[in-house]
Amino acid sequence: MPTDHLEVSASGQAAGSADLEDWVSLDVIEIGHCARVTEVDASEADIEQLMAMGVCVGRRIMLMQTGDPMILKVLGTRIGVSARLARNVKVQPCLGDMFGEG
Amino acid sequence: MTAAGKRSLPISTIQVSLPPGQKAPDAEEVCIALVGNPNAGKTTLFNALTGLRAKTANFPGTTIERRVGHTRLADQRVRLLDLPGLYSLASITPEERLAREVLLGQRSHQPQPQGIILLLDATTLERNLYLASQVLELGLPTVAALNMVDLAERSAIEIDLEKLEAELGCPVVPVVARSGRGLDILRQHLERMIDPAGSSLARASTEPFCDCSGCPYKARYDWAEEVGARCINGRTTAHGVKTDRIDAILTHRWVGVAAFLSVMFAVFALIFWVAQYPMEWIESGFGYMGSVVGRWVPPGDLRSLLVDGVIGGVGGVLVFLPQICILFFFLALLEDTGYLARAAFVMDRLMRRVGLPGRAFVPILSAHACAVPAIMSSRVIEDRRDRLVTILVLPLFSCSARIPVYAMITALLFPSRPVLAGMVFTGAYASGIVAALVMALVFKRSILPGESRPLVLELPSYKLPNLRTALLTSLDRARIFIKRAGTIILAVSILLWFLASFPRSEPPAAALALQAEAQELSAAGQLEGAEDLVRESRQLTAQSRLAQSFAGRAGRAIEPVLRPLGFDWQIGIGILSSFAAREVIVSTLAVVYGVGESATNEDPSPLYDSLRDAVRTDGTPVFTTATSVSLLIFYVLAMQCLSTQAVTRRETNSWKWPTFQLVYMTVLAYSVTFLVYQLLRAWSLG
Repeated sequence: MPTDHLEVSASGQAAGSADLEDWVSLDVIEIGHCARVTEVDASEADIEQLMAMGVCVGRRIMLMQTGDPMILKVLGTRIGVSARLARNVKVQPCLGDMFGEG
Repeated sequence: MTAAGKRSLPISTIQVSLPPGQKAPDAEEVCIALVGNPNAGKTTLFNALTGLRAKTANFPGTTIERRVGHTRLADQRVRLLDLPGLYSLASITPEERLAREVLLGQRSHQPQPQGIILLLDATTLERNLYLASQVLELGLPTVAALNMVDLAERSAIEIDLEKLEAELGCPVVPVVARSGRGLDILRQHLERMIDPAGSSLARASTEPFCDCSGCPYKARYDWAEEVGARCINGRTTAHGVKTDRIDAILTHRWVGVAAFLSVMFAVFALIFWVAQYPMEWIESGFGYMGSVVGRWVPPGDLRSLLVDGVIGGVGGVLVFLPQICILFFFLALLEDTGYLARAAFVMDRLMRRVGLPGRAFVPILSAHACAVPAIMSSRVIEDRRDRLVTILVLPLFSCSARIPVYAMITALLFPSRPVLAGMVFTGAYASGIVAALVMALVFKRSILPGESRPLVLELPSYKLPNLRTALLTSLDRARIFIKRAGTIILAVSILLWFLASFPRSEPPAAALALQAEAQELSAAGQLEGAEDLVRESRQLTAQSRLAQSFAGRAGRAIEPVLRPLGFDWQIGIGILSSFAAREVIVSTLAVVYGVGESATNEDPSPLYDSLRDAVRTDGTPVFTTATSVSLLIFYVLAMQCLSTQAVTRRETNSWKWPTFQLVYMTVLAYSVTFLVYQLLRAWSLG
C-alpha cells in the first residue's frame, strides 16, 4: 500500500498530542522512546535492506539519535538510517522497556 | 534433536558440475562455506581456522571478493569458502544473490559446498536467527558456531544451547573466534559433518515460511523472536551502555566531524611518516639491485633495459608498498573497532549533497596515498551508481606519486620561501578535492543521475581491534599489489623504456667533439677535466637520443596542442613519458633539460637550477610563472596513471569507464590549464 507522505507527517504531528493510538512515521518519534513497527511502505527500493536488518512489521525499535541520518536500535543492534527511508516506516509508540523481558 | 539426521544429504549425490576445460579445484576436496551476518566475526573465525594461507580473489565475472583458505579436518584437506557478510539470502544485493547461488550450487566455476558453518553472534542472536532460518532451509549439512559467547556472558545473556540446537536442528558450538575458545569442538563437529559415513548430518527443522502476504520479513522475524524467547534466559541483547556513551560523542553532528577529521589526519600522518623509512629501504634496495646488475651485465641495451626499464620502473611503483600496507592495516583496525561505520555515518550527511555516499570516505582517504588501492577499497560501496561516481573522481585526489611533481614545481616557483611553497602544496591538494567534489556533482546531474543510496548501516558495538586480522588484511593487499607490479606495471615500464630508447641515433657532433677533447686532456694527464667533459658529452648524447626516439618524435608531434598551455615539446615528452606514472616527468625533464639522472635522487637542486635556466629558442625562459602554474594544475587534474586505468578496468569490468575517466580528466585538465595559463599571461606573468 503506497503511503502518502503528507498523510504521514500529518499523523506525526498528531502524535505530539500524546495520543498513543496514533500511528506515526519513524522520523518523528522522540529519542529514547520505544515503538512497534506497524507498517512499512515497501515501494521504496532501498527499504528491503532495512527490513532485512529487522525493521519490519511487529518489531520493537528505539530511536537513539535524531537527525538525518538517524540511529535506531532494533533487536539489540544500532542502525544508521537516512531520514528519507525512515519516513516509510510507520510505528505505534509502546510503553515499557524494550529490553529485558525477551 | 528432533529431526536432525533423519533426512541426511548423501555427499555422493551432490553434482559438482564444471564447464569443460575448467579445472576442478580437487575432485576429492571437500568445501565448506562460512555464512553469517556482517560484524559477527566471520573474518576472525575464517582466519582462525585457515591461518596465513588464505587467498583473496574475485568470484569469476564479479567484483565481489571471495576468500578461500584450507584447513585439515580428520586428515583431510578441506576448502573453506568465506562468503560475503549477509543479513538475508533474499537476493536484494548482488552479494546476497551470489551467496544464494553459491550455496545452491548454481554458479559455474564454483562447486556447491558440502556443508555450511553458520556463524551466529551471541550478543544479537535474534537478528542473526533471521539469516539462520533462510540458511537452514537450504537443507545443506550445517554446524552453527555461536560466536562472542564471552561478550554475551558479560552482558548477562544466557543462551540455552540444547534448546537452540533443538530449534535449529543442527549442532550449536559456542566459540570465541578471537581467542580460539571452542574451536576444537567446532572442528570435531565439522569432521562429523563432512564424514560421508556419518549419520549426524544436520538439516533444518524449521518449516518453510509463508512469505506470501503482508510484510515478507515478519514471519521469519516472529520466528526468530520466538526462538529467542525460548532459548535465551535473562536479557536477550546487550544493552551496550559503553557504546551508547561513545556514540554520543563520535556520531555527534559537529563533534563527530571534528573527531573524524582528527582520526583521519592521524592515520594520514602515520602513513607518510612511518612509511618513509621502509620506502627508503626499498629505494636503496632497488638501487643496490641496479648496481649489481650494472656490474654483471655489460653496458648496452640489455643493461639499460634491466636497470632503467625493469628495476627503475617496477621499483618506482613498489616504493609505494609500505604506504599501502600501513593504510590497509589502520583501516582494518578502525573497521574492527567499529569506528569506520561511525565515520561513514558522520560523513554521509556531508557527502550526500554532491551525490557521494558516506562510505566513499574510505576510498577518498586512500586516494591521497594512491588511487589504485583506493579504487580497490571502493568495494565498501554496494550501490553501482555510487561506486561508479566514486571510482571516476578518485584519481582527482592528489596521490603520493604527485608529490615529486609538486615538489619540483614549487621549487621552481618559490625557491627559498617555505611558507609560499607550503601554500602551493596546500593549494594543489585543495584543487584536487574541489575538482573531485565538483565532478561528482556534475556526474550526478548528467550521466549518473539520481541520489546516492540512502544510508542503511549497522553501527556495531565498539570492540578492541584484533591485530592478527589487521595484519592479515594488510598482507593480503600487499600480495595483490605486488602481483600487479610484477605483471602490468612491468610490461608498461618495458614499453616506455623502449619508446624512449629507440630508434637509436648517433651521438651528436658536439658530443663527439667533447669526447675527442676529453681524450686529449686525459692524454695530457688532466684526468678531472677529462671526466667533466665525458659527463657533458654523455648528457648531450642522452638528450639527443631522447629527442630522436619515438617518445621525442611524439613530443614534437603534440607540441602544437600543448603550446596554448605554455608547454614546449620537451615538456611534451615529459607528459607522454609520465602517461603511465606521473612521477616519471621529474626524471624525464632532468634528462631533457640536461641534468644527469643522479641529480634527481641525491641533491635535487641542480635539476631545479637547470630547469630555471632553461630557455626557448628565442631566449625567453621556459619555466615562467604561468608555465609552472599551468604544469602544476595539469598534474593535479590529468589522469596520467596507467595503473589506475588498469584497476578501473578490472573493478568496473568494462573498458568503457576507464576510457571515459581518461577522456574526462584529460579534457578537464586541458581546459582548466588553458584558462589559467591564458589568464596568467594576460596578467603578464607569462
